[in-house]
Amino acid sequence: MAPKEGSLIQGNLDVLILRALSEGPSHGYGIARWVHAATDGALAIEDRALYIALHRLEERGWLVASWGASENNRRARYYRLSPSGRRALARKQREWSAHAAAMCKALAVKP
Amino acid sequence: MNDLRRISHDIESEISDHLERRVRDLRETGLTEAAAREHAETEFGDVSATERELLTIDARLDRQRRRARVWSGIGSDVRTVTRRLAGQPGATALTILTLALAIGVAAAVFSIVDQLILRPPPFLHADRLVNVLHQTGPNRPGGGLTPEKILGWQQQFAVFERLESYAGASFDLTEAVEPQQIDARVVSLGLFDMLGIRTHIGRPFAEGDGAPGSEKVAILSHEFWTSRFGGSPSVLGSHIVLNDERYTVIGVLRPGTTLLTGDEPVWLPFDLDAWGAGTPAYRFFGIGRLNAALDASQARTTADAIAAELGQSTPLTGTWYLGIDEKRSAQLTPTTRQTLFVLLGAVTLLLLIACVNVTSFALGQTLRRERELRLRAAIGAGRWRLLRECLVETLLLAAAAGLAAAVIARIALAVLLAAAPAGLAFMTTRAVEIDVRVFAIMTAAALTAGLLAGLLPGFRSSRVDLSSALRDGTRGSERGLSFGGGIGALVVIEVAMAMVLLVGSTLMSRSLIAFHAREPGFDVGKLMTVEMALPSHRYPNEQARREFFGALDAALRRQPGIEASAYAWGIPPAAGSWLARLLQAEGREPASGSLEFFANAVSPAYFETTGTRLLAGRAFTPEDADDQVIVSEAVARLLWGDEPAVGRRLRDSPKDQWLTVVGVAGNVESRRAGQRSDLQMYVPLALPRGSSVPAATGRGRSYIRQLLIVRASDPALAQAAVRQQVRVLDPYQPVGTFVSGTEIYAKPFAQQQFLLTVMSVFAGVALLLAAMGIFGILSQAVTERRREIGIRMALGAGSARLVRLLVGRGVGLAALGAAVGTIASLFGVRVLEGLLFGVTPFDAPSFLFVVAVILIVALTACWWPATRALAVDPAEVLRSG
Repeated sequence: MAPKEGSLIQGNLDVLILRALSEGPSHGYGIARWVHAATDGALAIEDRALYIALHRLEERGWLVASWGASENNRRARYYRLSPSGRRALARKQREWSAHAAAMCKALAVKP
Repeated sequence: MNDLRRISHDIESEISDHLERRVRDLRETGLTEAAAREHAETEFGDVSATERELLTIDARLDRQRRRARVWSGIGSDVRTVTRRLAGQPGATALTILTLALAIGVAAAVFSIVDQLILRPPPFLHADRLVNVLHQTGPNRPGGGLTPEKILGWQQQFAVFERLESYAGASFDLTEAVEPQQIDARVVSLGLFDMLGIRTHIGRPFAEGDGAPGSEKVAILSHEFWTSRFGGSPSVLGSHIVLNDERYTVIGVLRPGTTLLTGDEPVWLPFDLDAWGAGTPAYRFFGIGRLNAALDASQARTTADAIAAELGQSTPLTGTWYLGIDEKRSAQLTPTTRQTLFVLLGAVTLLLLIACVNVTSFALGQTLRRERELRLRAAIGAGRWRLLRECLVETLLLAAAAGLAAAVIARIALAVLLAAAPAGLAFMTTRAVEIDVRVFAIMTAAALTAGLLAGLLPGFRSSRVDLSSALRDGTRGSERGLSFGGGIGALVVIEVAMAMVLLVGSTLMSRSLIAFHAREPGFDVGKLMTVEMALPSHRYPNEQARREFFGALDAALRRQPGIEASAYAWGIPPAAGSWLARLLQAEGREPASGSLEFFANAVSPAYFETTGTRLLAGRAFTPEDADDQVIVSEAVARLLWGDEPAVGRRLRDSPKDQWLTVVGVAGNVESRRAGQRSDLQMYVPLALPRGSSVPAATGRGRSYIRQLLIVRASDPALAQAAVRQQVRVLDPYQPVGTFVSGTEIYAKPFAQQQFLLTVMSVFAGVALLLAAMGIFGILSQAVTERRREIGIRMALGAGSARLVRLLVGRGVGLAALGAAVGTIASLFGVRVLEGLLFGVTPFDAPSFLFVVAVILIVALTACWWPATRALAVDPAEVLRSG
């Protein structure tokens, strides 16, 4: 997960976080791991950007954060989707599909 | 830990949690602890910069959340309180309504007083404007000024920055469908400029207007322009004819412009500098703008000093003393002022009572919920939260009352202004309206009372400790046993204040009853009067006037429905002359002190026309000279006791000629300043010299004024007949305003009637509020003591004893209130002195009556709670307890 050139733009990071949390509540590290795994490591997330995005989404009301005990009994901050976060995810998924389909068509690549 | 520290701590642990996990995962791939940590930190990026950025976001979020919590807290309080208030709609509505009523009416009365009495008129530099009169010496009664005095004082800049003047004069407005006598204001050229009075159309007076030989010009009032000329702008440049002279109309004033001197339809210029022999002798009144360095009393002192100097340097012009008074926005008689202040006092009491009522309502609410509040405090409801609920409750009540009061205030003002008698006619320079500031103050007052009441119990219940709350919880509220603690005191106050209002309105009622029961001594209901003013240029001598009045008399008597007609100075009770003289019967010592008596000059037909009885002797004849007199029975009795008076002689001062009594008339109702006197003297009305009222002079002419009295079966119908006959005799002769005998007779009491009505309403509401207070605390006591009552009944206490306990408590509070109220009333009723008739302010029967009313009302208020207490079922109470 080394920082790379041309990391994810903000909107894409947001939708990835939302998607990660649609699997269930998780902490920041878990989300980073999920993204890494789900994209086969193709999309790298900068840790610093991830946490800022998490807190921004919480401020926006799409995520709810709460403190829980981690596996090794330390305090861990867990995030889960709020109802409005869930709606936002659905909306962004539709937007992304349309966007991706349009891009693929334009570039004449089969999705 | 403060919030920022907590937030930043959280951020640190979140990031370190992340790093720990990453380090653990990296170690599993075989890295050393140190290498893994370094790798993880590099991977993460600038940790402290991230922490700073997260702190900004989280702090912002924290603030938002806190605000939202407060609002939702208040929102839930509002919902809780609204539910609770809605659960007892009767009590809530009553509280809101009484408060709204009191605030509304108080705001109306305060607005009237504020705008009529307290505020300066809407003129330029109104705070420095003064009315200026001539005085014969320091602190002597004032009168009109001569142009010479005005010109002299205009130079005294130590007192006046500017001094201008006006005078009143009557003119015959002819060359119209019906000749009319109108009042005109004659003003000095600078008056409009000094006061900032502007014209609606046309121009104001300017240099040269009013100078001898110049074109005669006039300015019309907006009202006169509208009614007489239909508001047409073409009036500018047209002519009106006043006393047979043509005046060019040069302007129309703005609506509502007034100097507060009565009707002011036409304004004429007067050039003070051109004053000299041959110009009419007006009585001028000054309006001055004081030197900015002086207030009114300093101005008076300075003016007195200057007057003394001027008097010595100009011995021939008489004294230079001035009366100087602040100019107000309304010209009110002392009685009107008194009436307004009495109203103000009454409405203040009412507002206080309403405040007390709200206080006791809020107190009762909290006391009733005290156990609940204590429990909630004990289980950890925050002190602030309990306080906030009390506050919200009071604010809600006050807000609702304030809204309703805004409507009520407007209605109350309209009703008060409409119901006000002509004597209270609010001659004012501004339309009276509800003042927003006054309204805000009223609402704030009610709010404060409510808040105090809401806060005190809130504090108390928020300070309870757990053990006492639980103890009380099992034993029931101790406080209920003392009948609501502070509420008892509030009820006493309420009853006392209601009593003051009740005493006031009872005294006014007795006055009115006495007023209606009095004997006029003449046929009030059959009379119609109208003032006839014959101008000297058409009726230059006695002969001409005698012929006119004689012919009018004869013509009127031929009219159907008219029974008789006569002339006089006036008719009772007040429209005559009052003289204070040393009455002396011939052959006896003069009276020790001067006596006030009602003097009237009457034509021979006066007694027949008015229906004043003649007990002895005869009425006047046309041949009677002015050394003959008719006296009232009371005068005859005073001077000669039971001996016959006819033929005796009397005089009203040692220097005067003796008057021979030719007749004794029955006493009639005559009064001055509310005081009745039966002492009346009549002298023959001599038409040639008959101008008892100083003739107001127009240009170069004078008027002989007579009051024509017509006796008719229907006085209203007589008006047309009089108009018609006057027109037949002289088409240029204006007829004055008709006033019926009934109106004249009722006039001195119109204000009392008005005050009585208003005060009765106030007193009724006050009594109702006090009764509600008593009722409220007794019902509450019964509710709270259900358990105790049940136990007592179970133990065999008689129901009579219980009723005695409750009623005794209620009536006891009322009696205490009545005692306090009696003392307060003894001070309070003094303000009614002078407004009362036939009853003294300290009238014992009135006081007793009011105390009885209060006790009866208190008993009634006890009744329902007592029956409820008796209905308590001991078995049920014991089971549920």
